[in-house]
Amino acid sequence: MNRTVRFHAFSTVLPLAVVLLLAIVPLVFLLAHSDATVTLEWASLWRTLAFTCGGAFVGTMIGGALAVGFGTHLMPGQRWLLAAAIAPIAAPPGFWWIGATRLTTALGSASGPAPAAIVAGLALAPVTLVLVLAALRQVPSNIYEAARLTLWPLTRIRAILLPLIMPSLLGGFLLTVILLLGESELPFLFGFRTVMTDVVTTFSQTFDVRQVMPLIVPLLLTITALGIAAGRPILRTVFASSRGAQGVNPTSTSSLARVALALPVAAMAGPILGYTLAAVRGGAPGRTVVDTTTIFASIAEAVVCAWFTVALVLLTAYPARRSRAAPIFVWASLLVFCVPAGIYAIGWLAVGQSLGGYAVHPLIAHAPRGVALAVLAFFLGYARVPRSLEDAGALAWASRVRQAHVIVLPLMVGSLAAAAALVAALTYADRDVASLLLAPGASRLTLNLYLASANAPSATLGRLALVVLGGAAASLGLAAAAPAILWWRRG
Amino acid sequence: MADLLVNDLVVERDGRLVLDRCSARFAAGRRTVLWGSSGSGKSTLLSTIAGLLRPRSGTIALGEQVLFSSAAGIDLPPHQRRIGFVFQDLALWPHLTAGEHVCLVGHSAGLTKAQAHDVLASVGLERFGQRRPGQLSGGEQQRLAIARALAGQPSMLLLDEPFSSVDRAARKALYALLADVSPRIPGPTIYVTHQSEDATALAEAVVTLEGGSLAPGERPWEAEC
Repeated sequence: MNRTVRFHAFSTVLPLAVVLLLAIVPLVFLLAHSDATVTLEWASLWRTLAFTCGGAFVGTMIGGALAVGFGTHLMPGQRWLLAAAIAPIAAPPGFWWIGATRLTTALGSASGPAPAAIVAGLALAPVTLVLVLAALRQVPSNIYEAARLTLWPLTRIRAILLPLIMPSLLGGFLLTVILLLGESELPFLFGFRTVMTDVVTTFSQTFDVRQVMPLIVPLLLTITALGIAAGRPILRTVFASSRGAQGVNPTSTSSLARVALALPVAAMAGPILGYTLAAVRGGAPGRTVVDTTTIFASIAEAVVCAWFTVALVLLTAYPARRSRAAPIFVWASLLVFCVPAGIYAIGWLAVGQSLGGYAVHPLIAHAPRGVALAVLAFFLGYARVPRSLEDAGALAWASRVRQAHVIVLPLMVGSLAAAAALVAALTYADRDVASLLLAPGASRLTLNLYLASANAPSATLGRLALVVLGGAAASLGLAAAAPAILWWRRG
Repeated sequence: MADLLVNDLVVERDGRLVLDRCSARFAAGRRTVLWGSSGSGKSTLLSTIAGLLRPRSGTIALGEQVLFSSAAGIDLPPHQRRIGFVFQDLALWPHLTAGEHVCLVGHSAGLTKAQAHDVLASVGLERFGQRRPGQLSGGEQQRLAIARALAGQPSMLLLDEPFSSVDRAARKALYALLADVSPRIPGPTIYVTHQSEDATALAEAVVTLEGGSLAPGERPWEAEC
């Protein structure tokens, strides 16, 4: 009997464990084939950390301040303003910066890590914003009400609110550092080198894995260490907030606060306006800026990647949803997600080379992070499903598929749709995987935009950017539509 | 000494009318029990007096000081009303020690550190200044919540069924503490409850709240028994 129970427990977690192990195949392959005698280049990592920590500091400050503003205040149109504040995460920092430089030539001369850190911080502020908002949802409402009654606003924030949301701020900071460690486009645009730019440039010139391993190993070790440090505060914040604590009661806001909370809209509208003006100033369009095959391929790749990873995770994670191994899966997925897509691309290229030059499709390199994100979203969504509802479903229907379809998945539809949209956004916005793995002659919209930013006429760049924006909206919408159509009405 | 006047108060919550043109006077220096069944709006009235909820219309005044008036466009923010509030779930700050609770609130009210610690001593917690709420017993947590309310030098004291979760012995000690504390408050002490034991022990005056309206009562819990 005991053996049967153990076998059942093992069989429920096995599929997801296999999927996650497959996701890290390229990393294991890279590490297994690194030459132990090679001297690791730690020096370039310190320079990179200075940029990433600076960017994360800016992002944490801005994201934290916005979260406190949105989480403690109530005003008309707040949902739209919040959506606008989170939206910049859907595109890489470089996209926003290139657009901003179309507004004024003064920005074009900015260079070096400091301005790059500011831009990165602005673009990635939503990471902290989302985490702190989640943390505010788990602060018991009367704890903050007690502070409202007895303390002045600044003391209230400093002495009560900040200590209560500190883990989420720390998690936001570390996650932003990790994401910026994998950022290569922004350093290129601001004319300085980081580990990731060195990895991408060195590998694109040589296609020799041994040349980049001295750079990759310290990067992976750092990401793993930071991921482990960030895991606890991030997961505690996100999962605790999903259990339905009341959270801080928002109050009506002052005019000054309204202006401050509307600033992200202006910050996002600026680059879009820059692209639009550049496109319009160029006069009537001449030749087309991008062919329809590239548009279709870019959108299709992002949507297929999103659907595939979410479906794969649903099939493999659902049996493991009540397993005691669930926290391990969540933690492992966070670590898998933290590794830059470019590293997975290099790993898969190395695997392909060892198989005699087998060409790897970019989708395969995008899949590990997509799977990781979908696993995180699955368990986050499942944490919100009341156990009693699922048990009631088990009493009503014998078929487990029907229970899932009618009871459990409709309650998780928000998480699943968000996961699909985020995977699509990550895939669509990628530059590194496309530049490393695309077959000669093939192209992608985002990659084309970055290439065009180097030397194309401003009007061409503006038009291309608007196509990129339209493609992004189509990708995200289509990706999220599948789970929404399947389960929204039932939810 | 100043009475609390509530006049024609209309309060909605989530689109539902909870208080409908409520009017009442709460006498200064006395413990008034606000009596009513569950869901009658007692906690809503307390939150409205404290400024945590904004009424649709009406007036709230403590003596000469108007705290809220829809007609005059006055709405003092909660921290400027100088109200001591003890929540049902106590709402103690989990990351602060007992001493830090009273010092932080006392500092906002202009108390020195020594004066704040005197407040802690007045509720019998002088030995527990370094302990966090999680390290205190249920009765001690109630005392800390009262100490925090007193540290703000309140003009009135509002208590929202704070003793519902402690045993009988601790409850009797808390009754005595409240009887000792309330005469020192310049305004009224309002105690919300629907438990006859609390009401019997604490009531010097009674106001009942039913069907969204306030009325002076004559110990309605005795009739219910």
